[in-house]
Amino acid sequence: MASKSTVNILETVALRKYYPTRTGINPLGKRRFVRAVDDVSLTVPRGKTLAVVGESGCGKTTLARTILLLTPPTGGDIIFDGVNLVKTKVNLKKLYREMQMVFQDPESSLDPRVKVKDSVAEPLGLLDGGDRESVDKRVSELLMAVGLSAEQGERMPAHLSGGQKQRVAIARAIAPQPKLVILDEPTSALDASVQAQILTLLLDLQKKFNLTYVLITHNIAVAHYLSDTIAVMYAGNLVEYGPTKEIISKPRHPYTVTLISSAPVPNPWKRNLLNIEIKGEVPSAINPPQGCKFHPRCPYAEKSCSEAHPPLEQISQGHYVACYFVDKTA
Amino acid sequence: MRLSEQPLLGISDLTISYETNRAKLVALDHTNLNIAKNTFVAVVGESGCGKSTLALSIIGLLPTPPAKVDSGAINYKSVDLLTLDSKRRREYRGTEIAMIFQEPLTSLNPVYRVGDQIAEAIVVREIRKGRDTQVETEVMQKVYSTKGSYLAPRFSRPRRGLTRLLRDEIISALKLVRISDPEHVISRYPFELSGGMRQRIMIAMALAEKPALLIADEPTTALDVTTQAQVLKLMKGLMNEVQTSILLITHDLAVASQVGDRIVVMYAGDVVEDANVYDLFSEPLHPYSQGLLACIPSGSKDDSTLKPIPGTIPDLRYTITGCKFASRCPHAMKVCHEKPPGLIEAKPKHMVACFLYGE
Amino acid sequence: MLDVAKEGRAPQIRGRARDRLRVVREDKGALAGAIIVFCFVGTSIAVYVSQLIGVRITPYNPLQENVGPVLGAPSLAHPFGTDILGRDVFSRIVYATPGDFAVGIVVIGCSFLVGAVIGSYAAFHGGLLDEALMRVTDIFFAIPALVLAMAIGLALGPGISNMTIALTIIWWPPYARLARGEALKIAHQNYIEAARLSGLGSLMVLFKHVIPNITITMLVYATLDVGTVILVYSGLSYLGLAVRPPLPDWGQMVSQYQDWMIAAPWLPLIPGLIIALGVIGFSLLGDGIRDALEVY
Repeated sequence: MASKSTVNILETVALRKYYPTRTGINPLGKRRFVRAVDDVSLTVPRGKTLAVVGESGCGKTTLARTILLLTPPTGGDIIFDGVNLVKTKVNLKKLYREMQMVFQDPESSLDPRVKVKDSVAEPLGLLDGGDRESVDKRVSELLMAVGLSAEQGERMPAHLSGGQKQRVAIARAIAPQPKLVILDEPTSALDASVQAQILTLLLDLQKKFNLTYVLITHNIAVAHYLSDTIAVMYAGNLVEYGPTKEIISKPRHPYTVTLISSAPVPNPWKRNLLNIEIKGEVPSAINPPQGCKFHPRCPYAEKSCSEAHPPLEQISQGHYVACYFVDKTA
Repeated sequence: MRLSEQPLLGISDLTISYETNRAKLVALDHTNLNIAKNTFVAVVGESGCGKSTLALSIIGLLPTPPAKVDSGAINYKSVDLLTLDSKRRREYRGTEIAMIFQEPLTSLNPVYRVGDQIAEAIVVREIRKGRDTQVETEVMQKVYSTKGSYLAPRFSRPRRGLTRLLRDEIISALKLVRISDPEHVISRYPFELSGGMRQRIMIAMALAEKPALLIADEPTTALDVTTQAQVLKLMKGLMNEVQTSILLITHDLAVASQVGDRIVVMYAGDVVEDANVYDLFSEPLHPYSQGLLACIPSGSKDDSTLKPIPGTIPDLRYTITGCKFASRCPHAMKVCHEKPPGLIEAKPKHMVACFLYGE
Repeated sequence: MLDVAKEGRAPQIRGRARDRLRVVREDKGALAGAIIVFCFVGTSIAVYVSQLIGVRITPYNPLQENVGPVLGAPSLAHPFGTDILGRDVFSRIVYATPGDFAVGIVVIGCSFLVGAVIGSYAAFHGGLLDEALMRVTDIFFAIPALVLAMAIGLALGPGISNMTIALTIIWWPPYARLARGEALKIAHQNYIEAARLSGLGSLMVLFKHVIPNITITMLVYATLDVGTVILVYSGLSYLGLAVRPPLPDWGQMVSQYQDWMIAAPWLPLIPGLIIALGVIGFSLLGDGIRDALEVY
């Protein structure tokens, strides 16, 4: 591995993941592509949290799976800890010691026929050596770190609540002592009070083990709370990227403006929800609009928006927007 | 309750439990709740608090072999719905009280076009409201040339005839829910439409029957954030247009604060607080409501702290003496573990079930 | 300080063997099934042992003719009656047990294992291998089992062991199909991806996570399938390819005496009922095992 003093632990450069689909039954028919991740370039500073936000079909989960090499990228580069994962031959076992994931659905992330403590122990196979005793010891440390008792470790997933299952998933993810953990909607399926517990746990673990998080979520409030930088995705493209506080208080891309203002705020005196005007729906993945994918729904759209997709441009320190008419939202 | 302000729906002392051969679970424990006319009431609670059971019991869709009503009454326009037999109960469903569910794809029949399904809803309304003779004869005259019977509309051929006939009404129903090209949507199948559209169609079908009360059980949980905003805004707007009350079931207190007029907080089968939305947010009385508000993330980790409520929701298969929240409550007193607190009016129109405010 | 997630009393844990046996004991159907199967197994063992040590365990020699009247109805001396050659039907039924029963278990067991591995492997790898496998199973589905077995039987030569082999060869495709379907259902579960993130190779994922989770559905199918194997095997016996007369075999007895339904109904009915009992017993036991293996 290269020198560990790089500022960004993870960097994607023009990352693309396209899925081929065929129109019609003709096997020789024109190949169309679902552009799940289309030219996404972002950076994740060491020890910080990047939130990737967007709605269904925006490609955020595909982005996560591609970064983890669970699915091979169609184009672009992924640079992790100084090593280009696309251009060099990667030993997956070594990679997964450094990079792990907490999945979205706590129900399906644990094998229902395996005891919870054995699920937690599974990634320890990535580390060399270790006899039964040291594995057990490590597992009980991990369970304690996420707030579970040894007795709960002996249970089957069906006998745990959603929040507890998610704790198990977190314990499993940090078992091999990774540097980067990708969290895919870690609290979406959980109740409000459980969500608060899990978010607090994640922050504690981040400080304790010096973890870097990539948080995938559609919940703006969670992204605001947990992250240092936010990347906004729409239909596979990265449309805005910058420091969390700025993106939340002064979103610049028209889609981001819509997204932030649709997020329900627990404040009856600020009923932003009832004042918004959004038209249309998220576009189809196979046949997206030409040019900027948001232009049919954008109040500021002009002819140039339907011709070519606007590039990501810097508008202030660390803040990038992909829009030709970003001045209109200032 | 003051007699002069008769609520539209009054639930008093309702206790519902689920019994299986292994365990008995009390889902609703002596619940009291009132919904006035033209009000948007949001019931907020986490899993297991009984909110879905409450919704299903009002509309009469509780699966009664495992579920059992142990006590209480549901008074709708002065009629106790629980005393009615299933036939009479059915007359209220859809006409007076309508419901929409969380997952719109499974609420709509995937093999029938959307227009046909809305037409069916309208026909049902007409039949139930006793105007069946009029609609049937129209249909029968145009589809058959002989007089038909009550059963004929059940078959699919007259269905399309119905849709043609009721086309204007269907289009106005779709326009009511702000669907932009209703003529096109009528002939679509549910799978061809997005989640937001389907939910709007559900609302259109529910409101086609002009109910006085619309129950929405987590209608936006499965939708995107922006779609959720559109649907909620629509629902709030429709309340006045259609003169209906809305009972929204949600786990999201933020959503409730955006659209609700009154908020009812439930915990483990009990109503713990029932107040006007502004009163609840400016002065939450029950420790659980306070805890719930404190654990909604707002602001960044650097400038705000999230205070999770310690502990977990109790297992309702085991009876708990006293207040169900006592084990997690920072203000728990001796009496809290001895007997359950009743719902009292601690402030004007602000109900709370907590010994901190009296007995 | 992280607080330990507290909870009320823990629900019943069904993960221990003790609890699993209790499930079977409580479920009357499963219990009945277990008893039936146990009886069959016991009889098979008894017959096998008796043949080894040369002791006869039935009142009459199953092959000996004229121990009673010809076509005698069931009586105290002959509880299942006698057949056309005066042989005691009860003794014949008892001595036929290991053959039919063992064949059923061996064939199903092997088919289950082979099918599970091949089917789940194909599901996970997809592509050409998957297509090829499906076409192979299609061939097996297109031709009736009996005909296929006959073909192989004639090639291998008649005899019980050869027929057992023949049946195993043709019996696995439905299991592969079933395994493939079930494996596809769980292919997208997150724990499969998590296993990959733990460095497990495809084969390890298959054996550790996929196969245990598809076993239950396949087990249900397998228990109902036992009866079918016995019937096909009996058909082979009838054709003289497996068990040859005068050796007894249940299905062969049914086929041989089906025309005697009116004159001597006990002759076809009793062996038929025994087969039915075996099928029911397995099916009930299978349900019970499936319930016991459930982790919920």
